[in-house]
Amino acid sequence: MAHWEPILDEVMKERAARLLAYAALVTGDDAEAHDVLQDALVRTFSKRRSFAHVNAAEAYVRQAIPSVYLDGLRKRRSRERTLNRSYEREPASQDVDSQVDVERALAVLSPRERACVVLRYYDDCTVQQVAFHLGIAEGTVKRYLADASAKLAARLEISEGDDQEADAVPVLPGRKAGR
Amino acid sequence: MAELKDMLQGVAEAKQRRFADEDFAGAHARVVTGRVKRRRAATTVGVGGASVLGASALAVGVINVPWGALGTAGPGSVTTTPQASESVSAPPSPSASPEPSVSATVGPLVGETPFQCGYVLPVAEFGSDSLRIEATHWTGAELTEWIEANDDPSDPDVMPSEAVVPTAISTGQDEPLNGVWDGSGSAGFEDPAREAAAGEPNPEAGVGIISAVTFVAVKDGTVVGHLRDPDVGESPLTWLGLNNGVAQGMTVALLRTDPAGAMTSCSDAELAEDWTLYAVAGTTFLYPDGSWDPVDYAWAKFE
Repeated sequence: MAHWEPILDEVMKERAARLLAYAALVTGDDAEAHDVLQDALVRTFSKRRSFAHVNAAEAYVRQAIPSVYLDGLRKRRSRERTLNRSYEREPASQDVDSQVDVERALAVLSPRERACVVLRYYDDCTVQQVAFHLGIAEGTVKRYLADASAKLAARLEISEGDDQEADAVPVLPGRKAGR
Repeated sequence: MAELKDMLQGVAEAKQRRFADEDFAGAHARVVTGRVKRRRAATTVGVGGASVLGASALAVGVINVPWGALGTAGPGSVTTTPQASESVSAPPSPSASPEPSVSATVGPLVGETPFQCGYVLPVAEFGSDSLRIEATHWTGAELTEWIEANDDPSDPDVMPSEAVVPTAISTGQDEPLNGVWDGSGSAGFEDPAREAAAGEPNPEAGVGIISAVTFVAVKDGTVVGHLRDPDVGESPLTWLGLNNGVAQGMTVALLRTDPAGAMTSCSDAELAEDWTLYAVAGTTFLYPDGSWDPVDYAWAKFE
């Protein structure tokens, strides 16, 4: 067994739930989360990289998830399934518990808006880091975030004006703040 | 947006609870592991075409990639390069002077390339336009900060236009880092000639790049020690491949508090004293018919 296999096995056995949850947050689709996680695992472990501990491997896999998701969207842009599913779909009902409210609010975001939101507000990345991570311009990130914030604020009754970019703390592994 | 963060955390936690009962490994482990194995093999032997080619080139960053030539040498192209069963001699670049003859012999590979035990370095330093080790240096605790400043675990679509291998040896880390960090592709440590020999013809594959960097111990001009991972018996896990996503190639660091401790003698005896540490790199192209270009090698001494 190659030296990377036990770590991969451990990630899949012990960290899958957490990674799937993150992937589902990014994709907005539990089924797609499985596909994205598989691809993120493959991308991460296909490189000649060794991990001393499963925690490090998990961090890499998690970090790969947003870009794997968006890369996948680019590749299958011609297929309408995902984009149609994610764009501007109004929630069927507001009369559900708060968890579902949030999920439905997130569902109206475009895939890129959603990825930006997760990286910015869940992972606490700076705008610069989000841009770097997703391979898009900072201005584009800001536009996505502004649009997403407006949509979410309207649906979740939260304010959209307290994003203090400079104070964000990066949590992605191995990144230098402010890159 | 603290509210939103809390909401997102709530969603994530709820989803995690929901996924906790799933047997992801049971459902997908075989497929995922198989894909990883194939891709790791592909990165080595070139299966997969341009994307693999680009990733390898980016990650290793030790070569001036002849993109124009590659554009004409696509899948199915026939080259005049040696077949895997042949012993080949890799002519160094015309710009290199002096010009040692480095033989990339398939087989036992004892003493035939600078990656191998017993190889006699014809010159103290060697490199070419296509592959060179630009700098070697010893560093200390500051390496950690330097890593943080330069790492890039993503897959930027940036191709290096130059080939350099600055190489660092860490001597002052509080804890030895142990692992490979190559955010953009792969960097092997095995002799490219050996990797190429292990590749099989694949008419559907694109042209692949096989590149590697390692460290060896040299005494009296001969390779007397090399890196060996005690866990797996053949490969070092003491690499850190860095690519900052711009045209500066890859930086490789041997991250051990005790570099001498990472080195294994080529013989049964203990590693002789007074050896010198060298960084060694090699690269070649592998073609769909299983042939490969003569391996370019480069090496440089740590003063």
